[in-house]
Amino acid sequence: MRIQLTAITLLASTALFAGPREDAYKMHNRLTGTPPAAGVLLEMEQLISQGNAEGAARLAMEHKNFINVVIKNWAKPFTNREQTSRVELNDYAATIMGAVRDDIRFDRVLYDDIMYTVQGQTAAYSPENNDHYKNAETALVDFSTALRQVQQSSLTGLPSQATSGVLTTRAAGESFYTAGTNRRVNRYTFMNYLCHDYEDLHDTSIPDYKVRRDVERNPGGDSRTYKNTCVGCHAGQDSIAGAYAFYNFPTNKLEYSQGTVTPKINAINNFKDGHQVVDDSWFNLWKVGVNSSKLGFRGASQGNGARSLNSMLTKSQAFSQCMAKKVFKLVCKKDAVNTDDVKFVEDQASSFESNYSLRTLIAKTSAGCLINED
Amino acid sequence: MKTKLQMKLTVFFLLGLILVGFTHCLSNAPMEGDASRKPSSFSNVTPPTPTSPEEIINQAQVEVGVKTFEEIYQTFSAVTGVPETQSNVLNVYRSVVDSLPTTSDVKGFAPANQVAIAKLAAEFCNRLVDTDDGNRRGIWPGADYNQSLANFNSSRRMTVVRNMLDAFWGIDVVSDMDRDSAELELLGLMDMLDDNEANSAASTRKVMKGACTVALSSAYVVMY
Repeated sequence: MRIQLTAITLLASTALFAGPREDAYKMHNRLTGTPPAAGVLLEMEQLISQGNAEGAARLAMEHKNFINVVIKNWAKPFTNREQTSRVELNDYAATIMGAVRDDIRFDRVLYDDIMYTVQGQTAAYSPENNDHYKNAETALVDFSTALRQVQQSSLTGLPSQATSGVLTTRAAGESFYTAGTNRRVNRYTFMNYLCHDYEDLHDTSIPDYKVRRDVERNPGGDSRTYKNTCVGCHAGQDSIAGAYAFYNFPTNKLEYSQGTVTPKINAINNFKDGHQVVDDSWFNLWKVGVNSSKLGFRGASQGNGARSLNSMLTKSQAFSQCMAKKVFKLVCKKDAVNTDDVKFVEDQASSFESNYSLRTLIAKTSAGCLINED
Repeated sequence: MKTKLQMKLTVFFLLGLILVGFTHCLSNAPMEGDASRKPSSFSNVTPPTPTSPEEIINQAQVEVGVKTFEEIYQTFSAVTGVPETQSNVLNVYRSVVDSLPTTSDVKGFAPANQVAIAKLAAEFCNRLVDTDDGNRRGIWPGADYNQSLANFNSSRRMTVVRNMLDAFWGIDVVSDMDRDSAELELLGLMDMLDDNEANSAASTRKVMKGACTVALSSAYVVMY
């Protein structure tokens, strides 16, 4: 009983009193997962006292665990269907870690011929297995120094024009290109980088001439289901997912067949007059209708291949807003719900579009959420 | 027995801390009529208005997080100085990692998470107290680890506790009131742990490990 009473007495006073020192301590913990060393804490405290909370955040971000722990576990859920961080390190996550470390424009991560490998590993990178990254992580390698930028096409065997950043890495292939019809990779791109699943974008007013042959037009014997439900997602998604028509992950490697549509794409024919994919062209039908304002599409409405599609997606307002929201959640430990937080995140999203520096977005957001909490 | 008691106390202590800590996290709880719940480009689905206390808690906006599995491991390594590569702590980490928190959402924090945290903390403390190296000397400078339990008096215990809290909780980042309360609580725990123990140096170290485990696995270390 004595323990209970004293524990509750102790616990009742857990509210952190927030001065510059406490803010610095919390900021470092959130940005690196670990408390600061005494000297770093003092320096961060001084910076915050001088009104330079962003500088304090940038100082904390120099710690190796910003990349090794926080960014790694932030990136891992993007790489798998379960959206969990409980997976091995892979080329997809390592590329995000490297891009953040080197402050590369984050939009490039989704469409450029870019990848990161780990220096000094016995197991060289292979497009056929994940040993290179798995072994490095097991050996507790310091990724904040060991990651090296490479041309993705030089290691994976994909033609350079067929690469599209993390979305054509081996890990993406294993998660999003196996079996199915390659719609999955596009759906997860929307979920991870535009913060919208297809259900959010349901719009039955979109013309359905791009809906593929594998979609039943009278599911359960009722064509109204198709018109009122199925078409709401398929009209838009099938019009753009053709960008992935030449990719496949048949066994253990992402393959690309220039000019040849992967047979699985058109394999099922439930409606012979449905759209048949004949090339890797895409046409963004969601650029009109309710999703136009929701996603804020800009730039091209059509193109060919994954790179041009993902380049277009990164130009959308939804991309910058999604990144701002995810970073806010990462460093502020909450969702932007109240008016001030929503406004703050919107402002950060706009600012992010000036250079797509995720590092700057993280530093500014980290500084801002301290102010918002105080 | 002592280990079990210590584990129970640790679990109780931290679960209580989490629960009470919740009351500090509700400042932005969305309530009926709150304009902030209006749909915007960032929130296009308005959740139903909560009607019960459970629903209010579920919809409350929490402003603290719990560290995730790797963050906890790295934090324990950072504050104790025991390297992340040390085989004993690494083996325990790998055996409990699946039970450590996956996300920083404090609402998802479960008793199994706390048990795993306590197990990991116990191994770090075991390593820290039993190994005569710079880490131990750094946290408890001047401490005599070969003194009998009888000589491990209140004054020496207070020094051990204060040094430990400085290292694990940080200096001047926790309120004086919280620090004072924690010191008293840990001294009380040490009194309980030395009951029926032999008057030996091994018992002294055992008591230190118990207090160390509680302090290291506390919310001040694993929450942010």
